[in-house]
Amino acid sequence: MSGFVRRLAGIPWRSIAGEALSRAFLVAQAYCAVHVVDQHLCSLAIVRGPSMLPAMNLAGDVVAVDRVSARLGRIAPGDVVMMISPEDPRKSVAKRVVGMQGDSVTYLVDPGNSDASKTVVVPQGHVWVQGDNPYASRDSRQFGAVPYGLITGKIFCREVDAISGANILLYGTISWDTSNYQLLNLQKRTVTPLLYAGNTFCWHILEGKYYPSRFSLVSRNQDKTGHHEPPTPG
Amino acid sequence: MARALAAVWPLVKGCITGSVLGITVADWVASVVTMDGASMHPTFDPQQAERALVEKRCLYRYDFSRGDVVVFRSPRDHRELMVKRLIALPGDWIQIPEKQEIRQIPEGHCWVEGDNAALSFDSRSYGPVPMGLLRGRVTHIIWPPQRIGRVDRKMPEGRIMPL
Repeated sequence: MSGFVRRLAGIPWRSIAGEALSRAFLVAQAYCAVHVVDQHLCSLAIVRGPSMLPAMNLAGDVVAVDRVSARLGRIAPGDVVMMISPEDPRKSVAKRVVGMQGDSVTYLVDPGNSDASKTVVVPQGHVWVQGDNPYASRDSRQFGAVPYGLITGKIFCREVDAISGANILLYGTISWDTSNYQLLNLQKRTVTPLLYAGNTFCWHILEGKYYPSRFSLVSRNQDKTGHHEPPTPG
Repeated sequence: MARALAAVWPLVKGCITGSVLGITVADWVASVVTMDGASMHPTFDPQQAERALVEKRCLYRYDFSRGDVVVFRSPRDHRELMVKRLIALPGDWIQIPEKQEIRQIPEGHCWVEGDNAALSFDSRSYGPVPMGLLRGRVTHIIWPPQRIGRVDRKMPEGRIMPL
């Protein structure tokens, strides 16, 4: 018993605690740095849906969002912006700015069915946003001009190859669903060596070797599609 | 030159670390806002430049209650922060005595009013405010020392019919 206590006393608790604290502080600093860059400088996001066709993919596109220009007020008509939806503050939507405050906007009320149009003047401090695909977009034509304060960033860059291994590495937590996984199986794409490496690595992730436990999708898909082969470079 | 840089570098590193940590805390935990204007009298005294603590944890899931004092970006000017009391949540019916009308708050919006109705530029002028503009909830006054205390939830009588 006393030998055990002596061994316990021999362990350098203080230096271990000191080292643990400094490591934890380092992790906290890293998290805060990532947060500051993501919220205030530049961020990456995935947008999906039919409202911005043909500019953005239906199945999902990785876009780069510039947060600085929105904060400085340098948004102009023609910019695609990321904004908090006025109908649900927990959702973010991507739309194109058509008019700034004071502009007079004429729009088709119901483009598929009639030629009726309406003209509105955008109030002070607001912007008029519309999706590029007016047939399948909920935008200012339904919910009116939105206050500029809802705009969180300007989308300035879009990843050309939407489903690529590197993206899935980064965004597996955000957009992982069945359709993405099945698209990896398709060998229709010409992949560059880097993307191929990313694909193979992600393939292993999907197999369950490095997968975090909260993704239960792996077992479901293996039941459906059986044995997999790694994608060959096209 | 290199020695001067080496002497200054720890200070610069400390400043950068401190500001990054401070920005994260101000975004996720709580920040301080200075009061200006008489629209919230008597809750906030217009004569003294009071500072209030704004807590941000309510923004994680947008769980606000009727009667909270909230901070939000003005719908007329995105650079300005306004402090008013949140009177109604989405779906509520609110009675506006000045216009003798009853309105329903659309989804994703809220109705804000200042405590000092005569001097307050609030939802009675610019309509319901999208909840995406909300930037936190005022919980305490922290300056000047004689005004330190909680800011409580208060609802005006008979104005709203909750959903």
